[in-house]
Amino acid sequence: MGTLMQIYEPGQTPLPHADSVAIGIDLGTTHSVVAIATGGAPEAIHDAHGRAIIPSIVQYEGAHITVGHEARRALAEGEAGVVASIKRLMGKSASDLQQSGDAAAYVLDAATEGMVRVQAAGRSLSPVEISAELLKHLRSMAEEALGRAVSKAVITVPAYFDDAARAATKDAAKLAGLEVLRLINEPTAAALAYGLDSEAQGVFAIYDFGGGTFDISVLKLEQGVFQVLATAGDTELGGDDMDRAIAAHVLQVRQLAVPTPALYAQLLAASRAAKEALTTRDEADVMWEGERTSISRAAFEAMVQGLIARTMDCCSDALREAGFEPSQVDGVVLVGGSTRVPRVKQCVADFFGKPPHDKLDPDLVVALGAALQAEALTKGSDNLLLDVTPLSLGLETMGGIVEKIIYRNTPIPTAVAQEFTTYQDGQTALKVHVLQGEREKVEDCRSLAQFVLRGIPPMAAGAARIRITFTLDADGLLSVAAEELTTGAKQQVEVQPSYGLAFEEIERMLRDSMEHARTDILERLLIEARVEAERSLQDVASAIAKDAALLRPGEREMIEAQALRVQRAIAGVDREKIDHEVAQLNHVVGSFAQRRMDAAIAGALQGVSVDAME
Amino acid sequence: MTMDRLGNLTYIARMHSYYEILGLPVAFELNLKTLERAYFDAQRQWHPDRFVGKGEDLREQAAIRSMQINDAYETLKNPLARARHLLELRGIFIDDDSNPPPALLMEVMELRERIQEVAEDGRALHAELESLKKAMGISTQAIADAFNTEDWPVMEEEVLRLGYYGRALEEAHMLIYRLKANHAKEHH
Repeated sequence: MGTLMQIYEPGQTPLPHADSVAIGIDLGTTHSVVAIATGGAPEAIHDAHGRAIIPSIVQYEGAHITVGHEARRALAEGEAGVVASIKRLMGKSASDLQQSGDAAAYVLDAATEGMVRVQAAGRSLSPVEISAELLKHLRSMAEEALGRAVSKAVITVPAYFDDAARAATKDAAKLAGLEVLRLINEPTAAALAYGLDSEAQGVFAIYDFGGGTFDISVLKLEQGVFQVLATAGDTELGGDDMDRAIAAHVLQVRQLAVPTPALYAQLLAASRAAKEALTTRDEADVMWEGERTSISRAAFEAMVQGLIARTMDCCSDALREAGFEPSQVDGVVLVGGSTRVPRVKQCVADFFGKPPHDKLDPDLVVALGAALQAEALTKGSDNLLLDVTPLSLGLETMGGIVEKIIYRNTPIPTAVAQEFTTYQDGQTALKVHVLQGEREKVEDCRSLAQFVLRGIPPMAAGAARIRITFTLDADGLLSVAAEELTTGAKQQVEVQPSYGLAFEEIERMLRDSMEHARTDILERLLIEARVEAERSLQDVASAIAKDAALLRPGEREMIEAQALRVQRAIAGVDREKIDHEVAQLNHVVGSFAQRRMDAAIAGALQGVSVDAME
Repeated sequence: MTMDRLGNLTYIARMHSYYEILGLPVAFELNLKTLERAYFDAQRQWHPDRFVGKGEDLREQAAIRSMQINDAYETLKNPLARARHLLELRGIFIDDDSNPPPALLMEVMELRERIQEVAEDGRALHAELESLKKAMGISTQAIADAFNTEDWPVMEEEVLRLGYYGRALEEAHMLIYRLKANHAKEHH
């Protein structure tokens, strides 16, 4: 500990940002909020019209850019150049979108590879640029309200955001001229807002049902420490889905096909208005295209029951991971606009057996928590956030299998190293393929980055020692370093969102991993058996090539016949057959191997000098 | 250009004593509350959030320290990982390639066969689960005794046994989950 203090130069400022102010930003799918905390009391910042909740919508008209309520009005009136729900595209590639079926909601730029781009008003824009416009707007709102420049922020992200989406969020902040002091998970921010307020102790569940995503986190609050124990969620589940359910109902009742994007946007807006009305009334109308469709609260609840049930499954998963029963949870905190729906509140209360906390505005609570953390990071605080990584991280190994390096729900920051070796004789390069997800096979996980470690000296297979280190910082961002230990050849990458990345499907992947766990293991065993068999074949072939002189008459034919059987078994899917044929091969090769060994020993003895023998 | 795994995961702090990192006395028996308090205290001091706006070098060193503290906590809170760490501190390394005594191997094979036999029977699976948990408790106590009497060969064998039990427990849990999932599907 002393060493750390010694490197502290007197010239460096020991006071952390004493004169600077930092804001908290909840950059949401449907709306965003900016807040500031001074002296421990967080407050949402309002715009000139007294509004704190800013729609996450941007309109592009030539060089002119409009953000927030004006852009939402433009969207509702079907104007061109409007982009909404851009958060769903953060860190994603075009192919990810095709898979998730989200592409229909945006006018995508077809001509690009890698990161997806959106067409608006004749411009090709990245989700990072569009998010930056939202952040700029929030930043200037704060500057106007505070009467001073603001350059630092804590920004919240869904706990389930993957590495690419987190990196994209940080990039957007950079573009908006904001230094990110910390990315924190939305549920954690909510806990912070409640916890500091009430000095609560015990185990808490944060149920965060927002516009576009659902997150559940289980936290322990003790001595001012917020320890995240487990987190689960669904990145394709939110209030938007409720709006779509109502819209689908309206189209069905009126017997209409899916309308044009502009008309559909209006229908969604009308559906959302009906949903909001149903939080206090028993019946509401969807006004669209000059017609009204009436919806009862009971009918609405039936439409969304499946969506709510999916959130409850996530709650079960997170509690199991944390090792608690629902009844052992001391308190439940509601976050996100979708928790205003009475049916949602009721289901949460039933599941946990206690009424949830809803004292703070669920639309503001995340930003309030972020503001508190921003203050803690600039002014200092006794409170501490200990977070975990929501998804496992690993590497591709032989046979397309993912070797997990960092397991999900591991506390961050963390660094883990694993040694690998080469598979073939004389192999001088190694492909390092970084993946995120819970499944066993590469194609079922999210590819984060690929690079090649070169300059490995040619050696026999298995002799090289390559150490690969995964480092996950406190923001949940990953960097990967590879080093060949015998030569010191090194390579390092910050994992950047340039490959086929997405944060969608993660929950589905997670669920799949449980359901497929058994088939995955069988498949893995099969692949491993194949790899093992291939290795035996290679060993035998190179032994024959080297020491053909030691073979007895007919022995080569016998070995080759058995090798052929091994090859046939490898082509099949019967693992036991492969193992059996390999065992047979070892048996057939046995006496030849013994002769090689004897010859090697004899050779070694001959090489020993006479005086060493005495 | 593909790669092959070589050995176990190495945690960055492996070369250190996790007990030292958290300022705890070296012992197998460990009160989880005490561990948690030591963990919180250490993170309160070294977590990167405590070093925002300070020099780059200082932040880097604090981050490494914070990682070590996380490793230490994750390792020591789990009895099996804790026992392995204690053996490592004495130069005894147990990995996937360690050869178990034949009698232990036999016992474990029988155990897993028994679980596979009742794979479709929820009640029997739960019974196996319960007896497995009991066996794990006994094994954990044996590790504690071996550590206290410094009987390293016995401790090593019990650590292997507890590891096998743990994997069998996981398998049983997975089978139960699968039964439940199938059951739910049928209801649909």
